Amino acid sequence: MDFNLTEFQREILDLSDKLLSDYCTQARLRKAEDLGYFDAELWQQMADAGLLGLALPESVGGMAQDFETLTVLLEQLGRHVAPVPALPVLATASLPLLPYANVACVQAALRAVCSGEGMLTAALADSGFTNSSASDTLAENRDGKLYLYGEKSRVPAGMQASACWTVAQDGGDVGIYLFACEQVGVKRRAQETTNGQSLAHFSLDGAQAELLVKGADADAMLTAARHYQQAATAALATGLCEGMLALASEHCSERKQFGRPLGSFQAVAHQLADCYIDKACLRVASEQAACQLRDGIDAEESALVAAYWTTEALHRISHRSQQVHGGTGVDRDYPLFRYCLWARQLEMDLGGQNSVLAALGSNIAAAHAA
Amino acid sequence: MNIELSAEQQAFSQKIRDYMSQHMMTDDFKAELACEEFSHGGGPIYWQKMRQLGADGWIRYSWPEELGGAGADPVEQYLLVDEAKRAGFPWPALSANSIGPVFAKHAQPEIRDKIVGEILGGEAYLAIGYSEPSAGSDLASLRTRAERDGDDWIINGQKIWTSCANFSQYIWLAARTDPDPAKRHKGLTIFLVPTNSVGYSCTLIQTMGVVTTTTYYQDVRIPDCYRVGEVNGGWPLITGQLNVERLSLVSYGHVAKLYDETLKLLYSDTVYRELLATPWVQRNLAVAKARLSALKLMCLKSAWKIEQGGSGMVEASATKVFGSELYVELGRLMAEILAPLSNLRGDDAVLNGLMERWYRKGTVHTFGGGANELQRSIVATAGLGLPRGA
Ligand SMILES: Cc1cc2nc3c(=O)[nH]c(=O)nc-3n(C[C@H](O)[C@H](O)[C@H](O)COP(=O)(O)OP(=O)(O)OC[C@H]3O[C@@H](n4cnc5c(N)ncnc54)[C@H](O)[C@@H]3O)c2cc1C
Repeated sequence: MDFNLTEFQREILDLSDKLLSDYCTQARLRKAEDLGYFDAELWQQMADAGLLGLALPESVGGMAQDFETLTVLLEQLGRHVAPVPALPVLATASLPLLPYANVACVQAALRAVCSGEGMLTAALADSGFTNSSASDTLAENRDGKLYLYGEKSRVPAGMQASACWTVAQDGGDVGIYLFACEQVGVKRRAQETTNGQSLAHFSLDGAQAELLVKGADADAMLTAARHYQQAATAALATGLCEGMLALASEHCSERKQFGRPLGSFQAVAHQLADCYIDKACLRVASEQAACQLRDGIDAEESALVAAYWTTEALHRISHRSQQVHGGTGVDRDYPLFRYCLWARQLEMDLGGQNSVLAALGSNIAAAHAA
Repeated sequence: MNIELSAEQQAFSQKIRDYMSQHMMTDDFKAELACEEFSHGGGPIYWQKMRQLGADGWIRYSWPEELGGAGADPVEQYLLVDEAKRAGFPWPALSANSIGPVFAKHAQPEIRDKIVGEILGGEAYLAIGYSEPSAGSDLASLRTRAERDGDDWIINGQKIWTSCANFSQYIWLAARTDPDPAKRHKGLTIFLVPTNSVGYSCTLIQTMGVVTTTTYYQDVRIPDCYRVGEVNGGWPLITGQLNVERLSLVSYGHVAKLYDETLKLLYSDTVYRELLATPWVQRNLAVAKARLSALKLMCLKSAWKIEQGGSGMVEASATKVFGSELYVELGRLMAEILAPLSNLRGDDAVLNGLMERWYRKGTVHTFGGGANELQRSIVATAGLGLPRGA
């Protein structure tokens, strides 16, 4: 048992913290808000520093580090509310493709991620309510080429992405397909969401695509994507919680009412102590999921536990941080609101707490049958 | 980062688990513990087990080497207590973990070796006499007096909640030796009071969950060699061991027991198949699982922090709040699943009465060992840097 970061991980932490401190200033973040909360210059800086390829293989120009090391970067991105889509691009979309990294089209997509020349995303939801990866999108084979037809909604980084993978059916066979975003068969429309990040709606009308995997391998890839999304979200959320709590603690140490600092009132201090405990729980749950994914251990349970704590900590800490700030906390000239809106975004991106518990609970019940 | 126990640590836990089930938790001992008056220990088989525990080296295991212990690291110490409590053994934490080694370090030579021998051999146990009717959370307001009389001290006062005093040989007593109100923390001294002293008496308090005692000290005369540490130097001895102690109060195995046992029951019998398939039952199990997973990691991480040389104060306080409130919450989540049966006692009880007892015993965790409000204040000031308040 050792909860220390490795020396290399510490270097990544310091490097990313320094870079993000320079780039995530209030002025730049405000500017990014007008651009779908995306700072292209920062993204390119991250590419140049090797951070985008941190957990990608050397064969595509990456640093070949493990998932746990990526979570160190993700936490810093949360800590600085960095306006970059690292979570969906570097974790959810890229990592499930690693077993196929020498397939030519995958290799090209990952290489583009590393260099910053392109961006890879995953379209995992159809339009409408569904949050499941079951898809109505159809794949058609014409003259040896594959074309996709269907609607995809809420594609993360969808307006910036150059490549995207998704789920489609070919006569009942579920497959994972990779396609280029800039082609006549793909129409994109920006979707706005609460934290200012832009998502995209894709209308696929004969989008030329390549089949990556089918059947059980496709299911395995979707499961991997979910695990990476849950664990990576937990890491990013840990950073957000650190950020919110740092702001709240500082505020309550300085702001005085009734002649005393707010934090000297027990009712205030204890709310923040509870936030500290939630954050500590989230952090260990996140660490557990990251280590298990790194080691290739079945992470189904630890990813769900991490997702549970993500929803719990984000909800509770964001509301309490707001509460103890009073009016200051909701002012757009004060940094807290960005953390809170991102917290809300991530909480619901995971499907919300009850859906996470339903999955965990049905696994517990099913363990009996096994 | 590596969140798993090492192979040696896992083997150690397994060894304790086997030792507990094969040698300690024998049927006759379980039957004795089921009697209300012996539920904490103190019965004839209890003393047999204590002596065996001592002879097998487990009481000294967590003591530092220079005090005659085996010098186990904080993670091993935690694992030992965790497994013992999970097994339902009334672990002698005061001998093995908190008070014993402090006594050995600060006791005077005239009595030290004899009593250390008794403690390590499982022949004697101690009770803590801190709380008084008018001094609970504000321990430094305690009023039991010790006055110097030649080579002796004369002790007068009353302690309450002196758990295990009904079968202990000694009371680890905090008394006021300087009445100056300006010296609240600096006017306290620790004494080891033999329970066969003239003027000492003890009556039982039946609580909703456990038995504890009130102890009375009427002109109890003890020689100065029973003073532990400096005169008026008691406060650091009281607070020194609290972090490790807090962790052991909410150790994972202790808290998870109800979940583990409930799940075992649900899995064991087809009668419960329908319950297991019920969404809200699954949800209760999932909440318990998710929160217990965090407790397990928080406990280990706190122990690891202490092993790394940190004080572990904030971690221990945070874990104590979380673990004790989870204990209570679990009592509800699990009892809801078996609600119609959960409150039955005696032969009809489910889980040998564990579920019914859980509620009755559970409430103590959130205020005992330092009320959770005080722990939250520690987390707020030491963990978050907030200003000290009222
Ligand atoms: C079964 C049992 C066994 C025990 N065993 C022992 C033992 O062996 N030896 C021993 O010395 N003691 C023992 N105790 C005593 C235990 O340590 C005390 O109960 C505990 O310290 C709380 O003190 P109190 O009961 O006087 O409550 P109080 O101090 O009166 O506090 C009551 C409540 O008031 C609130 N409160 C108190 N202070 C504050 C504050 N500063 N800020 C905010 N809220 C506050 C908390 O909610 C607290 O729970 C035992 C108690 C029980 C019930």
